[in-house]
Amino acid sequence: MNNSFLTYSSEELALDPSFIKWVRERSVDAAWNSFYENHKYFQPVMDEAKYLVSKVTFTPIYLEQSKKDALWERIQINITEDHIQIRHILWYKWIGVAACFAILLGVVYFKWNRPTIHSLKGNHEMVHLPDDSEVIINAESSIAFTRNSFTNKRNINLEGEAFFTVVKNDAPFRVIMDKGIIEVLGTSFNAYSRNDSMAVQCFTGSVKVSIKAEEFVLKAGEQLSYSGLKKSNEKINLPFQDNRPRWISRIFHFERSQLRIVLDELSRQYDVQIVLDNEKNGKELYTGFFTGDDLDKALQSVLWPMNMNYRISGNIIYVNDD
Amino acid sequence: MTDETLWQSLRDGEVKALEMIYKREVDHLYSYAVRFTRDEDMVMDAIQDTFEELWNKRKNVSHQVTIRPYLMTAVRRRVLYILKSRKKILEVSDFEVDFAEIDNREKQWIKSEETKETHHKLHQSMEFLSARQKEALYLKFFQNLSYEEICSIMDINYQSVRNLISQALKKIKEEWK
Repeated sequence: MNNSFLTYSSEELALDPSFIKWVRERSVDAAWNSFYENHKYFQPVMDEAKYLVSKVTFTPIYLEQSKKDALWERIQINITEDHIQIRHILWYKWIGVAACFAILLGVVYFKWNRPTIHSLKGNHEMVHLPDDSEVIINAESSIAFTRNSFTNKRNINLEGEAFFTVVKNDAPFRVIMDKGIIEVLGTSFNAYSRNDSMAVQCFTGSVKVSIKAEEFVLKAGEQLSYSGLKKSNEKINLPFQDNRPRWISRIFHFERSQLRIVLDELSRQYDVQIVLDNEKNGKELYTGFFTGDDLDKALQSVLWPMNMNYRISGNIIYVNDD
Repeated sequence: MTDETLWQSLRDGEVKALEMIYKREVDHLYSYAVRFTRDEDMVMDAIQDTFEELWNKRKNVSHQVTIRPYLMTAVRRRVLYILKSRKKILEVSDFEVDFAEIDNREKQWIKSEETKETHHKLHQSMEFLSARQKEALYLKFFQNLSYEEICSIMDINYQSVRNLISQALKKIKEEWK
């Protein structure tokens, strides 16, 4: 043991790696033990240094394993796939939001030739396609396509909701959904396909929609909705003149929509489960909107006009009549 | 595997090398960067950007680096840059870096009252330190980095690092007396 330690101040001693190790490992270093015993007069300095080392502790904060894996997955795709870029969409402007509730990372399932990109609850993903077209995927939605033939046959399967900005080229761009097919050349449009309903909104250019044997052409500012239950469709003009759907800015509008559909959207955006205490509730019609930055506010905007109350327990929300 | 061999195979374009670096360093990078902000998503984004940029620039990075401080510098720079630009959006003129010795979320994880008590005692002694003092201590004591490495991470000179650390230790000592 180096006797020059005897000239050290407690701060200097507290910074010595071998001393730190001795303190942290609860005195298993025999050399330091005997040094301590043999220099009684120096013990107060050593005690002080021990105190300093014990005070300067930091708790490691780690990511959960699943998030670490998802993050690596994302990095790996972005660096090895030439023409696809995936970004987890962040909301830098919405400070403090993330602190209020946990946002789950999207999970990307990936096979080389048949990639499926899936956005989890509470999450939006932006995907850059091989032809330079872009897709923003809403929460709990997925797209899939075949890579080999994508430049000649731009076919994409969609479940859920996504906004497409399609770059014009010779090959038609098709979005295949459960209830129908959208076909475009170069345009931007929103496509929605969940349960029995389907809706397409055209923002620029024009869009051809086929539902079974029927064909419809939508121009910018028009929307087509189809209900599989009623086997009916309705074409309307969009009530607003935006260049992209409002859900991308996390504003969710509804016009005479069933409460169940509104609450389903809310549960997807906030990654919560919503339980209605009585069945008739789900059918009531709601007109209004909620935003994606504050769960409490969103619940109030939807439930207060309906005269309903709610109670939050963990990530389950119980809704009941007043 | 040593830093040199890992770094060399990264420069040669081995994705496996980047993966090994990621797996080895992600905990250290996250644990450090998340102390500047409570926004877990933003920290993950900064880490993603850092690794993607490292890959894209692999041919131009210097031959010899110590990997951990190199990545910590890059992630720190990104996190602070984002925080700074956010302040601009909010039109807050003063930009002050926060460095939390214990994260709020973690306080919730401490379940029993007894452990809460111990944790509190353990950390209250550092509450009166400045963010930069805490950060310097973190790098020195938690990451066991050299003064030179801390200089380049915190972007300040050698003497400033030494001063930060010795002043911090003095303050803790005063608290004891």
